[in-house]
Order: sequence, then structure tokens, then C-alpha cells
Amino acid sequence: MKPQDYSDSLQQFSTLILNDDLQVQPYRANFEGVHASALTNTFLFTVEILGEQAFSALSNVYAKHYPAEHWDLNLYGLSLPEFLRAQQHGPRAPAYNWELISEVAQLEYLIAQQYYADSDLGHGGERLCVEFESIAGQSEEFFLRLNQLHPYLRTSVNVVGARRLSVWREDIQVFLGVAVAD
Amino acid sequence: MTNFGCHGAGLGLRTPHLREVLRDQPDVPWFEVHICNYLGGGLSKALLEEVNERYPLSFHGVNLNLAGIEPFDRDYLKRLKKAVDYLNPALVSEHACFTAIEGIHFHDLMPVPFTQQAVTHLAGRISIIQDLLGRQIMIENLSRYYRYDESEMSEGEFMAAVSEEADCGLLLDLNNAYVNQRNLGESLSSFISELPLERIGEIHLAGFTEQDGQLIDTHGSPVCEDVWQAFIDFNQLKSAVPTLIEWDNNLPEFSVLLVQRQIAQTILDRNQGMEEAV
Repeated sequence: MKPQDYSDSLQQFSTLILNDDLQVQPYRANFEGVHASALTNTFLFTVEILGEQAFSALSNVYAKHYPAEHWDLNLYGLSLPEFLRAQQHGPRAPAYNWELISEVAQLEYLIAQQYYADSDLGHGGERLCVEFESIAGQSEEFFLRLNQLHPYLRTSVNVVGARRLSVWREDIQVFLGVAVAD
Repeated sequence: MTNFGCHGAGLGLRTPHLREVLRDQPDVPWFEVHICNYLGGGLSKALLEEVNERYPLSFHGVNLNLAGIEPFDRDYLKRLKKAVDYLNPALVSEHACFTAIEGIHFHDLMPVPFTQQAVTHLAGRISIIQDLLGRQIMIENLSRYYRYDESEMSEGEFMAAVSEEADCGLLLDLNNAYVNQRNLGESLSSFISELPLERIGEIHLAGFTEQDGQLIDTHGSPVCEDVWQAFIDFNQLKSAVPTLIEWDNNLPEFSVLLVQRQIAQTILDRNQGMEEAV
């Protein structure tokens, strides 16, 4: 039935996309593709640990079930750490250290959050603090690799072994250090 | 701060090329950026300020949700206005589309039905933006992969009606019109003939990808021969319109973009020369 109202037309169209209707296949393909690709750009270390193939499969599932809630595509993936953590109860549970992978994803999201925060509007200077169990057990090489993949990140030398880490920004540089409580 | 206009053939400037452009300062008359990528913080924003010191800029938006049915995102508007006020781009443009509905952001340019109700709705929202920014903006025609049964007019008639009612400019994307011709059987020349030429303030040229017999506007390949011909034909109707080469996916070396830009510039120059000769 033809909608009579402009709003109804737009709602019907978007419902076709969300329902994976064949009439709007190019839009559906883009909807999943653009968001899965955004995850690959943000979670570089997570991709490396999981491997491109496994990450791609999981990011496609995530993109299908977690629509973006913000206009800024750089901020897509807020729930990915939890989604990855939940994999420890799934069929791939024994294959990976999901706890570590989830924490790495959480850390990378914090880095992206700070990197893209608008300092002109008063964002970016505040420290985002999180407690990490698995990352606390990682070696210096882990943090070196994190820095290689995020070249605008500067990491304090004393982060190895620390549980509470904080991420903040000064000018265009993002910093990773030990949270004050430690 | 620059305010010296966009003339000739420019290039879409993408983040991976920012440093190269700043280092080499290529002979490109102007650049267009997806402004949504620079409304946060980060290195890209700082580099854009440097680019703005050397080149005229055009701001092209993809997230304004101009034809959407929900109120504009106030955070986005605030950032956009700040960027426009601060960097004072020569051109500002968006799309005749909606990008979000019921809190879901599709990050895609989604079409609207071509109805009188849509004309009134879209024109009203364009006016709000123009008032906010204190300047005229241009709206771009889309590549479309869906046709609304409820449409009452052609895309050309729709764009013309919206631009008249909102008193805005038009950004003519010839590749989008070509993709629609191939996919939907809509005549490119008829589409152009329905547009008010005096409102066309910019042209986009790009490449597409063929998937399952359908052309997808991926901006991931060189401009095709048919679109170059459409550009040559358009220049017979109106000359010296600022023209942009867009390339987003499978981004090549910057030198490849320079070659595409030179082809567009040659066409513009040839037409300019013919006009002067007459």
C-alpha cells in the first residue's frame, strides 16, 4: 500500500533496509559494510589479535544487530567490547582469550573517543579511567604494538602491570597512563 | 582565513592525502572535504586548518539528515556552524536525502519520494540551515537504488522545486545522474534539462562499480567515458562551473587524482576558450 504521508514513506523505506528486504539490497549492503569497515578502522589491535577473518565475521554480525546511534561514524562500536566478551559463552569460546580481546577493544574505543573529542567544545581533556584485568598481565611489547597501530598515542613507561589506566588528550596527542588511584 | 573562491577543477581531499598535500602543495585550485570528518578533534582537524591557509575549501556534508523527519541534531549543527564560521569555506553543500530515522544513523544517503509534501518539507529545513549558517548552501542529487511509488514528479522537477522554494543552490553530480540512468532508466539529459541552470554552482564527477548488473556509486574508480561526455555536453549549456573529482573507496595515489583533475580542467578550459573566441 502506498503511504499517504511523507513520514510514513521514510519509515517504510528504512524498515525495508532493517528487514534486509531484497528491494533495497544496495542500501542494506552499505548499511552493514560501512559500519563493519568503521570497526576495522577503530579497533586495529583487536583486529590483529583476532585475525582479519574472525574479526570480519564478528564485525558483520555486530553491524547487523547494533545500529549506529551517533552521526559520527568514528564513534561507532561502543558496545563492541561487551559483544566480544560475550563470545566466551559461544561456540568459539576456547579459540581465543575473549577477556583480553574485549579489554583491548575497550581501550581502543577510549583512544578513539579521546582522539575525536571536540576540544573546542570542552571535550578531550578529561581523563577516562578504566580497570583492566587481562591487560595488566601484558608485557611491554603489547604496549609497543598498541603505539605502532595508533601512532598519535603516547604511553607512559609505567603502564606495564598497572590495573587502572587512564586515557586523555592534550592538544592533538592522546596519552595512556596509570590512573591516579594506582 | 581564506575567502577567495572555488574556480576550475578541484579535488576531494581525503585524510590519507592530507600530509602529502601540505608537504607538496600541489597545483590544485581548491579542495572539497567531507566536513563531518573534521567536526571532532584530532589531527585531521588541525591539518585541515593548515590546508585552509593555502587553498580555498568547499565543505560537503553527509550527516545533516536534511530531508529527515526528526529535529536536527543540535550537537552536529553547533559543530558545523563553528567550522563554517571559523574556516569560512567558499562553498557549503549537502544532499537531498535523509540519513537517520528513529535514532538510527544509516551513514548512507537515502532517497525521499518526489512529492509536493517532500518539496515543502525539505525546502523548509534547507531554509533553517541557510539562516543558521548565514549563507546559501547547495544540495546534491543522489544516486538511487529504489523508486518510491508515491512520487508525483521526476527528480529534476523535484530538485528544481526545492531549490526555488528554499532559494538554495544545486550541486549537480553527473555520475549520480548517469548511475540512475543506467539503473533506473531515467534519462540523464532530461534530468539536466529540468534543472534551473542558474542555480547550479558545482559539479561532481566520480566513478562507480558494477555489481550484479547494477552500477553502485562507490567513488572507487576513474570517471567513465560516458560521464566525461556528459560533462562536455553540460559545458555547452553552462560553462565555468566549479567541478570536483571525488574518489573515496580504493583511494589511489594522489597523482592518479591529479590526472583526473587535469582532464576536467582541460574540458573546462577548452570550453572557456571557445566562449572567448565567440
